[in-house]
Amino acid sequence: MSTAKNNNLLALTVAAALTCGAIQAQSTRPTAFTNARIHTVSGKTIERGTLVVRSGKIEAVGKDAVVPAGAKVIDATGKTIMPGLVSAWSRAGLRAPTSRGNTPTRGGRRGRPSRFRPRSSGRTSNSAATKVIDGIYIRQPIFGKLLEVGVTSLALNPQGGGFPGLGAVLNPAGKTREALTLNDEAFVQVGMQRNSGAKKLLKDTFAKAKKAVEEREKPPEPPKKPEAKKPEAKKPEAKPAAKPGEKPAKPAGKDAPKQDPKKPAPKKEAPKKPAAKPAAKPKPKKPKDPNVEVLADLLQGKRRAIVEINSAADLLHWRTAVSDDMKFPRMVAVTRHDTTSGTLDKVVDHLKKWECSVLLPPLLSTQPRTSHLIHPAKKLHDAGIEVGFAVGESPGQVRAIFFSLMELVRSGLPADVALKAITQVPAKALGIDKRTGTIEVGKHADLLVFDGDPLSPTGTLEQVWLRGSRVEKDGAAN
Amino acid sequence: MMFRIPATRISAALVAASLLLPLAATAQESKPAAKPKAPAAAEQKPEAAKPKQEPKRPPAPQFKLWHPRTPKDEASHKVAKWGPRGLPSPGYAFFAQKILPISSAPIFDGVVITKNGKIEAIGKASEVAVPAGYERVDCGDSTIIPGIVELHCHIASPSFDLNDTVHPTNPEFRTLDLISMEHDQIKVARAGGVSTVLYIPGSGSNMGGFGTLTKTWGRNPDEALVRFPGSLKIAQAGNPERGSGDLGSSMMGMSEGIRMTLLDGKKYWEDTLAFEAGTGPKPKYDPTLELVSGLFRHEYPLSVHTQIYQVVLQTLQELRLELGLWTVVVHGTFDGYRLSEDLLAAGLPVAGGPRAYHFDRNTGSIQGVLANYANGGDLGWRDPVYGLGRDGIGVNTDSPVVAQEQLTLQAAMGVRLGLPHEWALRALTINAARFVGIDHRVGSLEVGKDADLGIWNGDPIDPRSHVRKLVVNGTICYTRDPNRPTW
Amino acid sequence: MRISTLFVLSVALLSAVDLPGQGRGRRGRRSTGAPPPPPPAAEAKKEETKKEPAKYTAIVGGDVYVGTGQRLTGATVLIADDKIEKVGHNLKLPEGTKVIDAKGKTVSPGFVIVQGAGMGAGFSGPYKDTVNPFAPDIKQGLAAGITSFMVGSTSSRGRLGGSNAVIKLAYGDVEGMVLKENPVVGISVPLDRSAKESLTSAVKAAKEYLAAMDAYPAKKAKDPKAKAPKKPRSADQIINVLQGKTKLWVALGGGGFNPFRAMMGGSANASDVGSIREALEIAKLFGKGVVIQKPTSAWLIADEIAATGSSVIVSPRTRTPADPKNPDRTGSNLASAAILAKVGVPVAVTPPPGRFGGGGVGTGGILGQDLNTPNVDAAYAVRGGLDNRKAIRTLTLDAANMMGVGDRVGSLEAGKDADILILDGDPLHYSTFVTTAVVNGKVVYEKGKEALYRHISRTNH
Repeated sequence: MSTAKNNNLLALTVAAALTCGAIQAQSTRPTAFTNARIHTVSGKTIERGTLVVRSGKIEAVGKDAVVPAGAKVIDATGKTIMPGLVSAWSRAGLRAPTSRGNTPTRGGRRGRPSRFRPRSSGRTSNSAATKVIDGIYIRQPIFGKLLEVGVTSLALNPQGGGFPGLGAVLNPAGKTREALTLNDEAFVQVGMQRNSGAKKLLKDTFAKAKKAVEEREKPPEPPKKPEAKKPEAKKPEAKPAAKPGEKPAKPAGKDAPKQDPKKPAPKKEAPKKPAAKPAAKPKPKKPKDPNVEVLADLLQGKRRAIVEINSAADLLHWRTAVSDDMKFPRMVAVTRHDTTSGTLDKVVDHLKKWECSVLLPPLLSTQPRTSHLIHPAKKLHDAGIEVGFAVGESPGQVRAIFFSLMELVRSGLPADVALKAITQVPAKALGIDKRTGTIEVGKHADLLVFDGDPLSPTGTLEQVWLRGSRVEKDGAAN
Repeated sequence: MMFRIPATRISAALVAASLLLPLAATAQESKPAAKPKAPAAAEQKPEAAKPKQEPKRPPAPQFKLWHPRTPKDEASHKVAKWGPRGLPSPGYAFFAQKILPISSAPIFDGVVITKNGKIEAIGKASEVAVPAGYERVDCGDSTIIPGIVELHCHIASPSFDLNDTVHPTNPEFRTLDLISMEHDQIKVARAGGVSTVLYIPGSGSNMGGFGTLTKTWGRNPDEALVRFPGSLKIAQAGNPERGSGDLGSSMMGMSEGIRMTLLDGKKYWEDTLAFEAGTGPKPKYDPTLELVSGLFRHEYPLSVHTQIYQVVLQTLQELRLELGLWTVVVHGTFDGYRLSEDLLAAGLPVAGGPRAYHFDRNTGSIQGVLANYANGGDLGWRDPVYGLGRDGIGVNTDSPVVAQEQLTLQAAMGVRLGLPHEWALRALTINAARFVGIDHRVGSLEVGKDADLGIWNGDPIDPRSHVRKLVVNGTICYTRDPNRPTW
Repeated sequence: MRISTLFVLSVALLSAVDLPGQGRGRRGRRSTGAPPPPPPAAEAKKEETKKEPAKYTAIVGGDVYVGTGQRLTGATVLIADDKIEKVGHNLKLPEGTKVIDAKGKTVSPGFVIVQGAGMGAGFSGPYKDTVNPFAPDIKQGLAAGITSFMVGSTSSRGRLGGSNAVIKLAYGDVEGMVLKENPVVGISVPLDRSAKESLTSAVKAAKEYLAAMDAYPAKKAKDPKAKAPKKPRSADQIINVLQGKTKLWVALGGGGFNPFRAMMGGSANASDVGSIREALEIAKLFGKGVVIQKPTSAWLIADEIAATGSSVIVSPRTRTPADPKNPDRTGSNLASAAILAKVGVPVAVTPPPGRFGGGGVGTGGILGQDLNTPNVDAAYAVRGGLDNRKAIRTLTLDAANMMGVGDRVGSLEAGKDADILILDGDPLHYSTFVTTAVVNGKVVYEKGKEALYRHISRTNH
């Protein structure tokens, strides 16, 4: 790295600090929303209450919460406040928009997937340690646009099957890498595909990870004693044939082929000797594969994963490649609406064993080859599984999420579950649920203020608040 | 289809493709319903939420074919040319364990007496005398039924070039010129028990030309002729749809092309009638318009290749109701069966197939085409509808789409999916004959009708059964060799 | 490492001011996500090794078509887990047996189809990694009576090859869906001279190797220094055939697929006696019967085929017209299946090439050109003269043997997989429907529960 670049970075950081400082100065004055209907998500909806925000956090919330002195009071009569949306599945920002839109190309003629190619969202690989954040262009308008429509916490999911990398959680208002990135290794992304290559990769990689965990948990070895080498004193026979320069560098086994024509016997012994070295150096340790180490962390519960499994068939195939014994915290994400391979409600028993949450597309499905509607989200919820929904990757999709939820609620999903699915559940999956995702004292004031109810067709999103500051039209938190 | 057709075969391939198109239409309709429908609650509302207190409907009226202007006998036909009858054939007495005349009750241990191309007597062997000199043919445990009638045949000729699509409509073409009696397909058709076929042009254009009713055997095509024209072939959807820019490529365009030609014929007919009544001049002779005018005289029907609800409805509206023509729906596949009650009311019969079922993507169920047309019922459409019933249902192969000799298999599949067995036998015989106006000659075993008999070793509809002998116009034209059965 | 220094610096700088969103995680990084809770402790493995008692199911009271040609009236089929335990009359049922009443119905092995597609199978091998156990047309296949089928390619130009598998319609069970990968190796004739020579020498070398392997233990006992025989290169496929582990199928090429001709009824060649004989040469070379795929003229040389122990896949409704100049020695024969069966050649049936139905069950509509009614093809073999009783073998045991899975499926015999159909009549009758289908011992289809055919009542027997 050149000094010039370093200097620039330092300058930027300082500038950011100063800007933040400026923001900070403005938001020390508390804000109080009064007469508001508040969907706390963590508890019951407060029909008419007060919400106090100070220094970017929720200071008080309740029917009888007190408005502090000097607070800026916003009368929220007729308004509903809910936590900001948490998008746990998004590739917004990952690729520059193409003429076909921000969608992955799949090959085949005319951009349609080739009929005989197994479906995939990219190449399979083990790049578990790569950080997706390293590959993006920081200043993109999409983040701000998503914030404007209510996405206050945004994931960035790496693309591809297998282990495409570490996903990040973003602050959509950030304009620098530091400001943008809340956590550059928030979760391990795993992608399941129904083909031999992908399954083999999963199987082998998890096996390596398991070994690495065993290696970590092994008690340390006692140090080796130099005497142990003496019984192999037949070495001096080999020495005359060995060239002087080679002894310390190569193990004796390398010399063996030269001895073959003369002495067949030493050939058998030579490879077993540790190198004809003067000093008893410990063998150089094989360098650890960082990708495997990341997965070892995962298996030890030190990381969490988002696993893309799109259908019941894919899940069953996963189980043949990765045994249920491999327990790790995960959210299963269905990112494609494919009913011909079975919706996940068909394998609800396995999901329960995994004790995971499930991210679904916010849609009713149909039983294949019929127009008979099915409600996978409701089925999973009724079976006791935590359901989340992908809120979308573009402003249009995010605006539409509430209409999608309306349909799901009208079809039987409880309204509170629907709202939880776009706030708290994805927050847990991203590991940010202690800071956001619900309206509770101490959490960030990431809020959506609706005129009317979010789940009513006449409800309108009026205000988006990020860390206690109102988001303006251009997306910058002000 | 992943094979490559060499360039030299392009024209042949195009012709093949033009026949393949209506059946490839499945691909078009098979868009998966990935998007959920309008906010109906999932799994909670029952499909038919109508109250069940409606008074039970009276049973369906009997199907009555509509062609009021048909001349009362063959001699009165002004345009149609009828083939000969009563050609010389030996005297036979066929004895069999079971005879199904179709138009009357089954006869056990019966006999059918034939000579000179006609049935002279039929009844129980113990009651009917065999005239002297007649050859006794003991058919043992056979079942004798009438020769089968096919309403949509494209194989009565060894060549396969039945689609000439130069003009938007081609009423000037006739299949009469092509018929042959001894090529491979027609021989196997005989072995399949088929004695009469309506041999029509393809569906490459909206109006392919005039078809011919012919027996599957004769010493020559003239002797085999039953009637020319058999029908005018019209195709209203699917195959005739051409690429954009071509005349008549939309539904409206296709309908208009058909209408214009038919109205020309109608005018010719009216002018001819006026001339016959002495109120107008003789119209200038036009052989094609002459044939089209015969349609308005109800001397012969339209065979209409039509399918899906929309287009079958179009057939009903335009050809039967607006133009008042004697019409037979052929194919009628996909969800056309929803119109069964409308067709019943209009006296418009259906020869269903070759697709035996429609996969209904609303319910994920397999709907039998023949069964639904015939039985009606609650087909998931409006209120429950009447079916065409016993007398309104026919069947076809659209040979060679389904090989001609497999006409009974088509019937078997219809029965499998719900068509009553007896109705299937009628569909193969008397119904088919009546739909095209030759039921005074064929379609049932009655004294005076043509001696067309199929002598089977069992239930003709069971694919395991076979034809032992076929008699056409009183001549045994097929006898099965068990070592090398033709079919 | 410069950047991390900067990071630390900026953190130090900024921590002086209490900025929102600024946490102090470990290692100076800005990750503030709380680590997820540790996974629950691994369950004790002891429970897994305990063997669970078998679950019994019994199909009682039906007319049982064993699949060999034998029929047992009013018999019981007893199933333990996923295998058939016993078939017979008045069987004693263990306690807790789930009883399925088949009185008035027939019971038969699931149909085994020699050529199929779809129904959950992927497009290429290895099939075990791509099967979709929730494919909607699996139910359709079960409704047609199909419980296992061959998917993939069973022919190869010039040399042994092909990639295929036998797939079961084990709805909902990924592992249960793949019965066997690559049970068949294929080759297509005619072979050109060099291909023939290389095949002959390769088989010869393989046979020598196997003989040497047989003799090796004795040889080694005498001379400890004796070297193990070296396996010839690329000999594995040939060895598998020689050892009976895979079946060799021969496709009769030449002529190509002519869609025009196919529509008019049959394949391009009026006679393929030469090709069949070439296939039989290959059988003699291996010393093992081969499976000949859809020959036209097999009926002319049935005895020759029988002499090699080969089998034939027949499509009874595919008709090839005879050459008028030589009508008695050319063309197809509906009696083909009957003629072959008479001299002991096993026969399996398959529908005519799917003009509009594709290779699977399909929804195209023309019944008989897809796999929705496999019994129709067997019925046409009967029309040609095949004994009605034996005809079921063309869909069951003979087909299974040809596919190399005859030890697992194809008949209702003790030890075989519990792939069983309950039907409402004679399995070869055109109106017969499958009312219940069992695969690997589990009920996977019931007519009354699936939308496909539940609205159709059988009125004709």
